[in-house]
Amino acid sequence: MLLEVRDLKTHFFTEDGVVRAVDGISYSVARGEVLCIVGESGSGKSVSSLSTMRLIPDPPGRIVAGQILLEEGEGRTTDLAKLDERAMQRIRGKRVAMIFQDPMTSLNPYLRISDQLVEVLVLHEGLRKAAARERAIDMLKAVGIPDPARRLDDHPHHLSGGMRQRVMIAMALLCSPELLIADEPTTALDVTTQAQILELLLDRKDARSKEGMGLGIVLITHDLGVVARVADRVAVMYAGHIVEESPVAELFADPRHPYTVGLARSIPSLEGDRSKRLVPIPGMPPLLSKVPKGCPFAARCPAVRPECHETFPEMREVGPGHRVACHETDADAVRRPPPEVTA
Amino acid sequence: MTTLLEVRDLKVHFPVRRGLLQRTVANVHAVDGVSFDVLAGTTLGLVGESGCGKSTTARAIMRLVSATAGSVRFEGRDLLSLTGSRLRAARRDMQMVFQDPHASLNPRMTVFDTVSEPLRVHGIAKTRRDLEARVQKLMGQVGLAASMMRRYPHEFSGGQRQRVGIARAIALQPKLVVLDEPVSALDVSVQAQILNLLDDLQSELELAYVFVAHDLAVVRHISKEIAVMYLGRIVERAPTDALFETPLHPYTEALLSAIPVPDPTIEKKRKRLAVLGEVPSPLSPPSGCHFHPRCPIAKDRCRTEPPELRELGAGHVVACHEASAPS
Repeated sequence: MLLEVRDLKTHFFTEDGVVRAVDGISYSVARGEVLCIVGESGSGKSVSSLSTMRLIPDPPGRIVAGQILLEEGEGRTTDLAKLDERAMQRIRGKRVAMIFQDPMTSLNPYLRISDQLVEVLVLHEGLRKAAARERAIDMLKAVGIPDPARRLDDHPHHLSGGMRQRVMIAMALLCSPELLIADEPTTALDVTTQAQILELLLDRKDARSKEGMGLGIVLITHDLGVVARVADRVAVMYAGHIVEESPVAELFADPRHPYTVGLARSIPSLEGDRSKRLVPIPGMPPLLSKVPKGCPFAARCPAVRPECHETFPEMREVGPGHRVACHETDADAVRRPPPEVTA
Repeated sequence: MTTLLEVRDLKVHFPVRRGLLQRTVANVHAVDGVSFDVLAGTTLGLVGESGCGKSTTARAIMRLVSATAGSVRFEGRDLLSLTGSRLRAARRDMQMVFQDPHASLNPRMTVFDTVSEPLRVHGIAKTRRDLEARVQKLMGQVGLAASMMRRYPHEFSGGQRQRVGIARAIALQPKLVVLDEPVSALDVSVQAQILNLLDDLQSELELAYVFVAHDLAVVRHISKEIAVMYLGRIVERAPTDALFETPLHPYTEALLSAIPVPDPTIEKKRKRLAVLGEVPSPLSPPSGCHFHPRCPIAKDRCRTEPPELRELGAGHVVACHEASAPS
């Protein structure tokens, strides 16, 4: 496994109490694989990826438990959770890179595109300026930026949102990282641009596989359409926990967690009977500083059982690579619709 | 069904000012000749990507931005020429709900103050008791507990805040509600709750909606008719099912094929129409048909001559030189 996260807990210590943003999650990504982490706001999906990059602001946040194991070859691993900042800087951008939802927050508005790209190459790869510039132009071309040599001297605000995201991807891929973490990379983009950016990510991944150095991608999203488009495997997060993990086809064909079922059911469809009433998930997610005992989804769950309010369900295997954290073992009961609520 | 709203050749141009003297050097044609009707009790969806002018159109109808040309008639009255008390009276019948319920609710006002404000401004409730009773009823109609009305917006979740925004919008029993991306900021599980609420209120109060959104699945669910906008113009307008089953404009087709659907078996097989590049800047839209530089079937004529809207099916109009009627 390229990356293996084991029982990771990232908590924030605030005046209002301990916010258990990530509360014991385990997942892994192989080379050449796309893992999608899907969840709604406050589910902990972004905090889990920031933890992997060791970008959690401390205080108030801290990784309080768990391991983030990055493969070193010959069966050895490095635990990123234990590295100091200097060691982490050698990994960030070089072996593990990240792209964010809003490229403007990660591109320095005062610097030209060339400054930002060339800097990375000089720093991490020890290239001379001219060689670095050459390589930066190649990379901009690879991510589909027209007229790359001229674009290199632009500032970020000269570029459209889609072009900025392409520059971000170019920056992230510049040092040929082994792992790419993409946090809602297309959420701020229009759909026609989104389609192009997703295509680009898959395309770069395939190109790297052909070179013999598989790139693993963790893509964080709230959009099940994006998941269906790019994922090999999916982890569904709810209130700081992974509640279901599965190969993508099985997740959609045979979801086993009532939250996964509810999420899929609440989306309006592009085809079929449109007069059919939508089936929302009743209520709302718990505050992460006040997650009740037991399963965090219990209060909204149509298949809730008495033990759900008492103990958090252990992950159990329901198929090859398909795991679910739910006390209800009857697949039909899990798919029971919620009672109709008016207004 | 009667026509409630009639928008004809609406234009909104924003001046671009430059230099020391802030001289107008250009105009952005944010909305560039848009026409449509909204029937009483029905929903018109306005869709398109960022910068297409859908929100500006909505705001111009509400007179939150001023129109440069064209007419907006509401029950026969020309809204764009109304002033003073006449405008205020017309506004009773048309209300707006905004995307961001954080920004559109005053953080210093309780929910009671926010929801009751239109009732007070228009002098609807005569006594305090009457006012309380009306607000209580509105809270119930949007699915909020009456006990929550003494609270402030920050104590509410995004979905609850949007319910407050809707309660305020329906307080005066309007005939038309203009909704600008009303569920875009919400999580999908909550988004469905709000869409159901809007469905219920529409049939209960016979409301007409102008529903502005970029999410086509959401618009499909709620709209009877949909207008697709691109760089300030409507490129296609059709009854919802016709638009999705037989899209006639290449842009509509591209838009539909770009949306990833939540089904991996379909997604892995799906052939995507390649739309080239990105939406050009509205500051300097391409000549002729605005879509021609990205269009897979553009001909010479498309570069010079802007296409007029033509009716190619029942209520199905399209602005494309190359489009032909569905067989």
